[in-house]
Amino acid sequence: MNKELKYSKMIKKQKTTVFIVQITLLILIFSLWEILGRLKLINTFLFSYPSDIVKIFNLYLQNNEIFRHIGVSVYETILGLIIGTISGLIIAVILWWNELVAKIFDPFLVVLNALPKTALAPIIIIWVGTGIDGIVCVAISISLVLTILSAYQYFKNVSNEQILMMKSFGATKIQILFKLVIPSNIGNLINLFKINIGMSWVGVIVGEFIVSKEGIGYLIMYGSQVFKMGVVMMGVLVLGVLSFLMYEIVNIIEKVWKENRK
Amino acid sequence: MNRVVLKNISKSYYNQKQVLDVIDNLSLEVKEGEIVAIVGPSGTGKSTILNIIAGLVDIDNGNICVDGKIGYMFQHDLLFDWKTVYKNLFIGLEIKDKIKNTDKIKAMKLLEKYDLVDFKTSLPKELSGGMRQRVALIRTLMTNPNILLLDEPFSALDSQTRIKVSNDVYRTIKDEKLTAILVTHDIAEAITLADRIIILSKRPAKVIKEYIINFGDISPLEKRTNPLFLEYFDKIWNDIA
Ligand SMILES: Nc1ncnc2c1ncn2[C@@H]1O[C@H](COP(=O)(O)OP(=O)(O)OP(=O)(O)O)[C@@H](O)[C@H]1O
Ligand SMILES: [Mg+2]
Repeated sequence: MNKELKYSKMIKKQKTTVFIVQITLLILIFSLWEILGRLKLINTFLFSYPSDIVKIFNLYLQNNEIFRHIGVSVYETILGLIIGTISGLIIAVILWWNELVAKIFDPFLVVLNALPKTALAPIIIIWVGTGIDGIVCVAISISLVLTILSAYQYFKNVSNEQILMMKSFGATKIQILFKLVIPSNIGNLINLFKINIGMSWVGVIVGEFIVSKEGIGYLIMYGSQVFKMGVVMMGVLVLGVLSFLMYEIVNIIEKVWKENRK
Repeated sequence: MNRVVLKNISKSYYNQKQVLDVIDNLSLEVKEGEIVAIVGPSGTGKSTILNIIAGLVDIDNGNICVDGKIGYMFQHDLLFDWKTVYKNLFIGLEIKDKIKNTDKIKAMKLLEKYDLVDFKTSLPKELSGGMRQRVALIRTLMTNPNILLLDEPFSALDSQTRIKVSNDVYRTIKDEKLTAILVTHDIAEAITLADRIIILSKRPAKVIKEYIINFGDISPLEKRTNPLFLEYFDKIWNDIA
């Protein structure tokens, strides 16, 4: 008992140390930025500086503009993330189910995967539309192919012997899918989902760069066009915070679920 | 009464380059309550024979007759690492959708018998190799099979654990009057566990010799020190060499 206590105390201590150093680092970077800006050692026209960014942020906060932009981008990202991941998984299941289909589509998927999807963004927006749906489609296009290929690979890597064992118990293909193939890959699929958060954000920001009147991508684009670097920097910082929050939420869900699964 | 009958079966695998004849006109009968060991060189088709009996692989020619419920224990324990020991036991039953209270009682009894009660809620990765193999055995037994197919089930274990676990399995088979087909590389294991040993040729697999093993009613461990043991061992060794 004493040993366990010591061990958990040590772990806790280490965690706090890591956290304190991380916060200190952040504060240091921003202070340095602020000081360099105030002393005019860096060109604030190009780099802006934290207190200026805060001022701009306050302005956007007061007229609620920032929430509109955040809301739109988060909405598009989550939609793209969920649709992209789920349809990717469904297609991966179909490929796993039917080897012939997998063989037929293999070269197409490989080419699509190698292609930089952002190159397709203008086409997609022209086809689908310049509203939220177009941007969501860009986000989907970026995560979809990767999801299909990775998930299919995971499914195929399931131990052949375990599948035989399930069959020896008389399992149907559906049972093998839901009792073995998917559960054994839950960890991988959650990681895939986390990767897709980033992918979906790329799609949304690129989409908003091309067309849109709102969203974080729009804000960044607008700022750079009128040379308000403070607005650009604010957009990027807000983006960083949002991605981090989304990632953490998924982490928390994963933790809770892991505790309950046993 | 015969539990398993294979009559003149043949099996080939095809791939782009070649036809691989794995089993050629093989016949085998296993009586109720009998333990038959199959010994043969690596890659000759021993696992394929078990897969055929279990209905997992189709044959090209011949007849199969299986009378009873099969429990297949593979070379690896194949435990699901995301499930606790206890939940792993029900994988077979779950597939048929019928976990009754009596099954839960049976699971507890078997866990007790195999010294695993304390690890009921552990994950497989927290167990030793011998413990994992015992969990795999219980998982197989949970579906109440009367024919056991054992494909080198102890090969991953160190020799001490191996002898212990195979003793357990032997007792279970004899106590519950099961029929068993055991594939093994280990001649000593075959002699101590089996009532009959079948020696297979190189691929394509044919029966080259059969031995009836008769020690009388003693435990596998006692057989190892019996003078007959060395006699059998020498004979079989010469067949294989
Ligand atoms: N699904 C398959 N497709 C093609 N060839 C196969 C397949 N399964 C087995 N084989 C081939 O059939 C032969 C017999 O395989 P099997 O696994 O039955 O051998 P084994 O006697 O169990 O060998 P070991 O003692 O090494 O386990 C091998 O040469 C193997 O390569
Ligand atoms: Mg084998």
